[in-house]
Amino acid sequence: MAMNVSYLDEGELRTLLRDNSAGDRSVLVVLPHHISPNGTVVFPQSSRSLIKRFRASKVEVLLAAKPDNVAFQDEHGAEWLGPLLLISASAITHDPNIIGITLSVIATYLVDYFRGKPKPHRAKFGIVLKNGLLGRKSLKITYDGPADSIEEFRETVREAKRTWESEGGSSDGRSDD
Amino acid sequence: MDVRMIDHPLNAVRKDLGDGRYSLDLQRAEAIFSGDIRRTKNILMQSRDEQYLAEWSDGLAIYASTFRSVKAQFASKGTDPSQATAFLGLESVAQSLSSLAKMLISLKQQRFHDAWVHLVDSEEWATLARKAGIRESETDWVLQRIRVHEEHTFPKMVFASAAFTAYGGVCTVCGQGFDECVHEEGLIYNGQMCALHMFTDLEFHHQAIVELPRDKRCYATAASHGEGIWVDWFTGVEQMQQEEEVEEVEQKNGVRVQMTIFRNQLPFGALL
Repeated sequence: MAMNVSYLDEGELRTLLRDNSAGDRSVLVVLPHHISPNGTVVFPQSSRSLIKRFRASKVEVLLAAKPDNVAFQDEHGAEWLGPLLLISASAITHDPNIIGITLSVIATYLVDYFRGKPKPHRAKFGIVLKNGLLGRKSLKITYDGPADSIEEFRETVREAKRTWESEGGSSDGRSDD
Repeated sequence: MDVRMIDHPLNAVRKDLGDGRYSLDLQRAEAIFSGDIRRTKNILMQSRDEQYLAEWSDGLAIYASTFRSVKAQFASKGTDPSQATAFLGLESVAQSLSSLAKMLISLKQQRFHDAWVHLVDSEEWATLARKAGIRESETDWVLQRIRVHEEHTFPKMVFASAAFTAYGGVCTVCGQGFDECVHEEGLIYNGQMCALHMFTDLEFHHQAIVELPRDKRCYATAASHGEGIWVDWFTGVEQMQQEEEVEEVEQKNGVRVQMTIFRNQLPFGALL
């Protein structure tokens, strides 16, 4: 299992946020996997079904791109390659439990996704916590490990967020969970 | 030779409705099928006669097509999705066992590539059976036997994993644009697995060699170390390369591998 904590500066995040207005909305935002040379914004294939699961769970979510310029990349591996999800400061203000809810939805989704499939069940995805203030770095935490160990990731996110906040990363000091 | 499945027991409880459709007494059919599954454990052995295995495989295929027909009828009514899904589970068990029999037959005929594909088919049908709610205890022995064959009958495999960028796509369950409906890829609805198809465009992105592919039918079929010889991955039988191929490999000082890199096929259970 690998969990990695890093920081994204504003420029890096701006590159990923093709629909610039998305980054400050009080909803969950799916960030792209990459931008193709012709400008098409490419997301992981897995995001398509995950978005449906979020919506069914009453979690507002959108893609960080205009719908007419979007494609999806499918890696034909056995592991689940999930998206990088952006959670803005305003999303946390709107719902202080948004991080926990997001991880719970993913954990439940993975149970269904891997049901019946031969082990190992591996998942990769990440979340980015965006600061509402200009010039502040965003926190990026990624997960690569067993699909049934998302609870451990939740602890890592909680710890990383606490450190980030104590260093002035969070705009309002609210804590999730 | 006594092969009871030639006079198929399911004939006693199914009623032909024409056009390949049947009605079925589910409880009686399940009871008969369970008995044959138990017998199948002792039938699907490598030492069995080829014809004997073929007749079992055909018998299991009759189960599968009957369950499929009944599943489609429940699905089209739409009144009881759980019944349609239950029949998908039964169909999948029958298909898994039939594929396992075909794998043994292919081994006997020394058609090793076919044998491998049947083995993978068997595993995927067993996986679908579990997704459709068949108890793990009913499929565990099949999966264990598949593991044994995978590890001891075949050489260690090298798999290919291709990445594609897809535009658009339609849901197999409802026929709507995939992002316009509520169905999630890989989940079962009303006896049918949700999958994406009919992309507007599909661009090859990259190719990787992996240990855990999504599709084990994408694998290395032969390798060459540059001595002018291709070695079949399964048999180890050597075959001379074309002259221009030899030159290219020697210049690059590498190993050439022939692979099946992509199969454009919907997963089992994706279409009614």
